Amino acid sequence: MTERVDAMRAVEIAEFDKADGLRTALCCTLVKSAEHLGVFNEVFDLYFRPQAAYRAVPEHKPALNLEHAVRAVLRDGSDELARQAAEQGVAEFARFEAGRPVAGVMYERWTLAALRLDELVAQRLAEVAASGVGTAGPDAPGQRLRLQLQRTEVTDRAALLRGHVRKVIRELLVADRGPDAVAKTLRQPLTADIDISMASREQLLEIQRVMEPLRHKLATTMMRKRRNRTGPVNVRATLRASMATGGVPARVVHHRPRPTKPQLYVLADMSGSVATFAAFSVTLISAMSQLYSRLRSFVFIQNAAEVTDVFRDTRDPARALTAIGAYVTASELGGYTDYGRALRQFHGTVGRQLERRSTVLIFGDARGNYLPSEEATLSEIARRAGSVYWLNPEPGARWDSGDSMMRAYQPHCTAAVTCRTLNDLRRFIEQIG
Amino acid sequence: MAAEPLETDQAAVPVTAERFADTASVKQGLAEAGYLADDKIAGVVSLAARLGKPLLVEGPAGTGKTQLAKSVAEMAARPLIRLQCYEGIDESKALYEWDYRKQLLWIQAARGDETFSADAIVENGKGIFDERFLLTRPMLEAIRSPRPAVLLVDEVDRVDAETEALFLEVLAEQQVSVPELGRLTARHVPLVFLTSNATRDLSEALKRRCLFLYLDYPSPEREREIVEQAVPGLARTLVDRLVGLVDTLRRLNLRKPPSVSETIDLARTLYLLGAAELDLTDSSLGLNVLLKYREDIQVAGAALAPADRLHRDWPRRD
Repeated sequence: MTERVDAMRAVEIAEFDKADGLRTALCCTLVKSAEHLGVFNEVFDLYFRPQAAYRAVPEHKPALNLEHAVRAVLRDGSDELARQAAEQGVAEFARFEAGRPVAGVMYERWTLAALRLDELVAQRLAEVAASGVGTAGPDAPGQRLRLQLQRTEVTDRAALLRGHVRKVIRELLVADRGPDAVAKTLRQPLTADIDISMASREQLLEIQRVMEPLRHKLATTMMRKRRNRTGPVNVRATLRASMATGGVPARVVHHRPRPTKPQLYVLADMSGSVATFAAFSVTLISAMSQLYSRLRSFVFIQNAAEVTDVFRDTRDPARALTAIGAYVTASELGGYTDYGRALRQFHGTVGRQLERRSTVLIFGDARGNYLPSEEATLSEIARRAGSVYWLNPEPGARWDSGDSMMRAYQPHCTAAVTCRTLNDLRRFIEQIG
Repeated sequence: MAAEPLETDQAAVPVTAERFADTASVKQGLAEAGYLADDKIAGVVSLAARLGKPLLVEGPAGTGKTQLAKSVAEMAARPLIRLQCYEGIDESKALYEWDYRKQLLWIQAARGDETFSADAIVENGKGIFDERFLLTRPMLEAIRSPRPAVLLVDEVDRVDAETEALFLEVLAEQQVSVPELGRLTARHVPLVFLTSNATRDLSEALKRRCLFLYLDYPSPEREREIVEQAVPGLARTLVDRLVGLVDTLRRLNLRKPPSVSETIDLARTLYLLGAAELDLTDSSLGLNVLLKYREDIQVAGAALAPADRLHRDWPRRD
């Protein structure tokens, strides 16, 4: 509520003659977190762009040869030309139908395919590479950098063109159905709330990008939570401090607490759709290894293998997955997940080390392909360890459907939670301390 | 003579309202103070000054958040009062503290006096709890300053959530409640800047009372201007190359992407060495000045290697 009042006060004194005067005024009062800036800009563009009426190829501008126009944009990066090409491309190829309640994804795809953007980008990149080799040779000092910078420029300009196409389509949609209706179809979740097992490749790269600051925030919160517990009163230091106040102990000094770091054992299912989720989760946890006195991670499909070193050396889930490919033989990849066997092997390797301070995390969907569940092993693990948590990327309603053995495993766990997004994972880790 | 001190006083405090009247004048003022701001930054600073609200500046390290506050103070000719936050800071370091030692000495000295009455002290704290024994810390200082000031609360995200609550009263109502003295209200409303590196989420109550500005890495054009201003003698092509390189490095998934200060460092290095070309190998100077972690240097070196590996692809799921 306060923010809305502030926003209105800011709008009162906003500078409307400036290009982004209104946007700045609303942004600084309504958006209080960096992750929300993207969403804000999208929604702002919906409601506050000058609306363009749907029109055929504009008469006052001569029709462009689109292929030449795209090539020119990739060469020079002219914003106006990109916009004009986008408008013409959308008018010719998007097959826009008034009144259809869509988000415009197909229009965009058709337009870009018809403009042959990917093909022209590849051609331009080849031209750039060829021109570089000609002059001074590929190993001349600074040559590599120059080529790389030119390549980046080309991809940037392609992104510029794509952005313009998207904007033109958005404007048409808003002119057609009004901003409220279009805003409803946007429905783009924040990166940390995307379901990992169902994310597309671009989304996975996005998630990977936000994982580092998230890990940092999580580690800081955890370390502070632990450090804030004060130890017992340090009598000697208190008396010493009291000398400054005339012998009166006005300030009580405590011992620094010696935090007991828990030990963490992670067992992750690496089959099929759960593999990506497991890779992200274990990468995140391994990146915070300084919070735990001992951290060992295992993956399994049919046999459990220790992968602590793999995750220790890399912060990139993609690379970790490829490295794990070496641990897991090809025959296993095609085989069926065997939870019982994996639990047995895990218990065999680690069981003796488990104690009250140990926490066991199991990542998996508990779908054991109707093989024996071996819940006795799990109950044995739970007996020895301080706590056992099961993180399941499936929603709770699906937990007992088909070959899922959650009902058998759940009673032995301290808690079984649904965990699908980065935020879920973060909240869980904060909770277990 | 009484007239003279008055004159110097007025001259020292120029009318600042005009300087913040709109984006253009703020931008010009900051440029005169040596800070190259873009329209968004100038606009938000202008709004914060006119609305009288504190400004929360968030962003990656080294993008000029603290420098912004300093430049605004210089531009408005106001004193800069700085509170450097750290974990474990409490109100005795941020707001005020009673000078116990002086108080004890005063009691011991006054004990011999006939008018000294211990009961009167306990009842209304007369003589012992007054402003002469109050040590003012930055926040209280900013409020009680005889001249309007700029208060910079640096790295507020390092403070515990509980301590943030202490700042709320100052930020929202510009007053500090001292139990023994009552409420000390502001003589002049200070311009408050809070900077944060986003290592943790700040509390909602704090964010609600502030305007928000995200200082991201500058765009290539602006970075070019900043480098040209910092290192005037560097060749144009070299500046372009440098800015392009830093831009590319920031798109990689590095542990610590290079910030503006590192760009300026490398520009100065190149100028001092009289380099004509920007060379890049693992052991070369460039990467070692810009990046601060060994793994980052390796990742950057691999990514800048040409031809066969243009993009890192996500492994295909079967």
